[in-house]
Amino acid sequence: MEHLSLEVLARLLDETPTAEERRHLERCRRCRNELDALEAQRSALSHLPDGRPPSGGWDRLEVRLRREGLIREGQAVGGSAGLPASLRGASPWWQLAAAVVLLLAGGGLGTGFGLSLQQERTVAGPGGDTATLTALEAETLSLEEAETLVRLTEGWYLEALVRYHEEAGRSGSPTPLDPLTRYAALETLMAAGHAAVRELPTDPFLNGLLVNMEAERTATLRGMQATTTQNWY
Amino acid sequence: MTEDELVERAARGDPLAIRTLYERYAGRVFAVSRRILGDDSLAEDSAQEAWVNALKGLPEFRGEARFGTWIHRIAVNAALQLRRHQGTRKEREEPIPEHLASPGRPRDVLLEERLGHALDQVPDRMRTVLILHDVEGYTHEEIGTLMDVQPGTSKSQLFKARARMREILRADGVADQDEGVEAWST
Repeated sequence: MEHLSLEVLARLLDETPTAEERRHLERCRRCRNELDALEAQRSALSHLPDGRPPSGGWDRLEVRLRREGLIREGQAVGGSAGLPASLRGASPWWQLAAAVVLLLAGGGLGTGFGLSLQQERTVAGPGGDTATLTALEAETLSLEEAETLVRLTEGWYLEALVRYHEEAGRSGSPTPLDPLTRYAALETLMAAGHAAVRELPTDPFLNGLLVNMEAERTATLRGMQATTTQNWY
Repeated sequence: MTEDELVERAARGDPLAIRTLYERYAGRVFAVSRRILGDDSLAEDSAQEAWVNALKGLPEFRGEARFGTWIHRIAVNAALQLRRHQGTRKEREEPIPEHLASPGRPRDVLLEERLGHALDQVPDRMRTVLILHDVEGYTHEEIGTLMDVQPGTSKSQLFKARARMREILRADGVADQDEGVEAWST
């Protein structure tokens, strides 16, 4: 008995067999096994994972994109790019807080954006701590150094964000929602955020979100306390 | 931020939006480039070209397709174009690398790596059709347009490529007659 060729069997994955081919398959275990193996091979191919691009791919692409003018000049991904316009061009202290937002958010994007500060800066934390950061690249930090930096900058960021909201409120920026509704919504988000962080306690993106939500909630609460005598509703 | 907003901001040169899109799709773009070209270095060049072309074309991107589908198509085109410029790649008939024959590696990872290695040994045109059809889900009509061949040619190349893959994997001891289906089904 002559077996069906592999090419014919490969065709039968997509097309209906002829009457003769069907009769052969009914009688021939070997050809049925080959057909099953080809089907399994196709299935395995369709489930191949994407994998990861080579390390340094983004850095090389970014250089090219800048050269081609596809990224706006003067905006470093690790700098103030993508921030609200109100924060761009702000003092170094504000820019540090902004960079931390990117560090925390960037960690959730896989390789992270890196924390890239263009100049040496000495900054003071809320408890009087100070640190000097010089063209710091997050990739060069040890785990312990990175943890310390995250802890320090998290406190600064929280304080900066709260102060930002307070200043924004004093300068008459519009508040789109009533504070109580906003506070309740943030409480709900915080509960979900805590649950997520309990599941993945070292996930930088989730931790970043949680920090952000905490700052928003605190700012909202302070705003409510400051205006209780003014009948915000 | 929605993907439409990301695309809109990336079209204006916003680096954060561009980086976010890159992180989201770089793996897929590199994977399809690597599979078509069969070479890491060429794939990296091709993937970079795809990103540059995509970002240049963003102002004209109408959003009829999803960004992921759009850049995937651009990546396929870039890889095919690079391969044409490179000429026919030297066919490789290498034995399966030792680390892929190691029984200590997780089974699914081992199978994926062996599949990748076998794909690299299939001749260029056949492999491209096989990848576009069986891996990436393109139709023969779409493949015909991309590769400038008739759909019937795409079909016959696909059947040859599947058969060649099967021979390579069988020779490498993957998916043997009796255990193959079980092995692939995992």
